[in-house]
Amino acid sequence: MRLPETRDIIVRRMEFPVSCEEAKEEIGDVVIESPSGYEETVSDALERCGGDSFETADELYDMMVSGLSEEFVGRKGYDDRGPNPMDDREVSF
Amino acid sequence: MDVTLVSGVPGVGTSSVAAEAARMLDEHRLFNFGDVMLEQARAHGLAESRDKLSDLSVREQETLQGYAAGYVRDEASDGPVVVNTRFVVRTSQGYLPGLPNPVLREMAPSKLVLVDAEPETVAERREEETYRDYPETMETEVRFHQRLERSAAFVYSSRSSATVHHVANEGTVEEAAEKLASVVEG
Repeated sequence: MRLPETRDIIVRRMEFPVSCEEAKEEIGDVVIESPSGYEETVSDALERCGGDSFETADELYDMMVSGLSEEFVGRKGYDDRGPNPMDDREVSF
Repeated sequence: MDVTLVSGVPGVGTSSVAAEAARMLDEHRLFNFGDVMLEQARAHGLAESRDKLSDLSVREQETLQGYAAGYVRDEASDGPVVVNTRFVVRTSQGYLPGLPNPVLREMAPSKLVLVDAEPETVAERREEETYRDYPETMETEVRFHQRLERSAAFVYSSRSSATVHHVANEGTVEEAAEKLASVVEG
């Protein structure tokens, strides 16, 4: 699933505060897909959280975001999926 | 499509109320508009964290809003959704509409819900919050932002035919969440 879809899973399955290990146990096997199609699990994203605990869903979500691999982070002005939507010349509303 | 948009000024407790309401709702899935914007901002190397989104140019923010709206539309085609968003966004360049016309049209909401509390309550919550950094906690700023949010809600209503609903979050989160869940299902 895409990363924003995990928000619903977090708020439904987790009781806060929650430890990093508890979070991994509960939702660690959820697979997150990057916009370019790369996949990794919530456990992978939470690998570095160690003994941390989270008071809110926002804290847990932001830790997941920061723990995702470089595959989820692009270069400014570059898009390998075709026309670049961040290019002003290509975008209209 | 069944799309309910929920908003409130920073610190009023919108995220907590929306999360609690989501647990009370069986069919509706909860999304956070900022999550989608952040995902896309990272994918395009524009911002690494949520706090950095507000520093992006107006043009970049509008583009990210457009992405997020398309994402919500796609998800809403699979079932009813509740979206935690901001009717008015405070950026480093000033206040901006959270739902410019193309974004509003794309999501086609049926309900607009404002989570609200007294400015004094919001200011107190901001000061108690340790995780998020709020730019200001003055009641006058909170009051001004709340007025913009209320005005924006009615403007969006007039442009989309969505109904506007008020959820007070002065008591417990559960009480406010029950009211929100009732609005969403009503």
